[in-house]
Amino acid sequence: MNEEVTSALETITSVNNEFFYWVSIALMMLIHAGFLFYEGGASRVKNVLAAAMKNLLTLAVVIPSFFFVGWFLYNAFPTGAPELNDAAKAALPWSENMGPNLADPASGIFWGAFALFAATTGSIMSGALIERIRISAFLILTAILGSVVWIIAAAWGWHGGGWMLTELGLHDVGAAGCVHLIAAAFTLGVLINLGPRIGRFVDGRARAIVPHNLPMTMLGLMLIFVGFFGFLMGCAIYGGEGYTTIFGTPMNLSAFAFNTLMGLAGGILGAYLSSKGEPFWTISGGLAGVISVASGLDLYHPAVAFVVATVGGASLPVVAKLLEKVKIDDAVGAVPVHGVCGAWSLIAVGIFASDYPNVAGPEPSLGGQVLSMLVFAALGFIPGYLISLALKAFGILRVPPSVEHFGVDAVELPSLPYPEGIPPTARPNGNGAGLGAPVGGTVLDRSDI
Amino acid sequence: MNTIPIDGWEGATQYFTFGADSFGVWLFLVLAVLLFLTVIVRAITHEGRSYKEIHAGNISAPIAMEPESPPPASEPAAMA
Repeated sequence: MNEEVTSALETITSVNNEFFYWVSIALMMLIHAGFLFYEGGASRVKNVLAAAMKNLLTLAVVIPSFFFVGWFLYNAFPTGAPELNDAAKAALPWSENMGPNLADPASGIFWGAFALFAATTGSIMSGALIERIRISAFLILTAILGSVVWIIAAAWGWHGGGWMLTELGLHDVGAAGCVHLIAAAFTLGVLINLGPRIGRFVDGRARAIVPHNLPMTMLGLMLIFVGFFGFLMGCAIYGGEGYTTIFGTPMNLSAFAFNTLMGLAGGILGAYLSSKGEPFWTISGGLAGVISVASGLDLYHPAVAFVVATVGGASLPVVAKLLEKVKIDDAVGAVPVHGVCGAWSLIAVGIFASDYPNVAGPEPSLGGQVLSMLVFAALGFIPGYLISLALKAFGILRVPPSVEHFGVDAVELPSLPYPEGIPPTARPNGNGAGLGAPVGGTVLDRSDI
Repeated sequence: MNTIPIDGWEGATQYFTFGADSFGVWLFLVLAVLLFLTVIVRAITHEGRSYKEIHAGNISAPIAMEPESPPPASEPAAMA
């Protein structure tokens, strides 16, 4: 092959590589559109815009903070302790790689994909905290989660030289641990300090606060499903000779296609069964299914993926009930969907895919997967709990009760999502339609608005 | 203001404004971080002020418009 052909092939590979991750980033934006709708729909009318704004601001806060520190941390922390190696120096925000550079077509595109992963961790947390967290407190928490906490987990477990790969043989190809579990564990820590919404638990009993617009929530989840195909693109390494996992093992997108779709289907059906057809949990089951199979997307037979995902989807209402029992108000089920299914995903690889050959560490094992799961959970929970405790101590974590009653939209934004009101048919006793209680809990009335 | 670190495109690598590790890049990085922190601080103070307003009764209830008359008990034709 002469020099010109070689050079042309290199150029094509480089352009393809850039374009691959460019598309991944664009699709991942849909995750955020989806979370915006999902959480807006899950809120009561008085808090719809606050939920939407939180999602919008997540992007706006995490992207710059990830530029300032996040990419550096990923490259500096793979061995556990900080290390100022060449990759870390290149990731410093004043380096020649962190801006337009004709000799470096990779840094920006990888940084962009990781920045969107980072923002996803913030969106995972966002839904659980709706209707009572101060937006400013959320912004502080999401910047720390998105640009510090999760990316250290990613450096440890999702980097080619990460110690969890080289020492424990971690296999988490779709980031169930280092994105979903860590974000949910962080969220759980925040939820403990934040406390439940007023009216969520009355006389020791849980009362459902139903979504104001369930179809909007369902649309949001459908958008998230689409976005996850971009997310999973970002989990593959695309080069001139095809794809590898982020751990360097060979793979192709066909494997991802089989198991993502079977996982989606299994999760929906599992949640449909266990929730007795309740729409919110059923569609959340799709996300739970994809997360449940995420760690082993490249390895499972599709039937295995389907079963693993069904178990994950079926667990949602059960885990949500357990959280209710300990008076934790996780408004959208972030802990069951992302936390428990993220943990299950890691464990499932240990059960069904141990001993596959590895490139940069020992073979995956049940012990290594469980230990990795515990590390991710602790790395998420401890900072989430401590930082939210500090915000609570300063009195800037939660909105005052009067604002919670009044609604965050009108007080803090201030704006109204539906200034011309809600159609009479959507009101209790309006035109005979009334307002049902699809989750079997409280019924909205005018005093809620 | 001369912000251009290259003389031509031939052989150019990094070509962003001011150039890597320059005073200009540092200046704008500091400004960007300060802007970022300012937004967070402003959000906190804005919330504090808004909460005082509601306690002072300066924010009216966001009640949506009521229908002018109660809807009829049943109206099968509405579905047509």
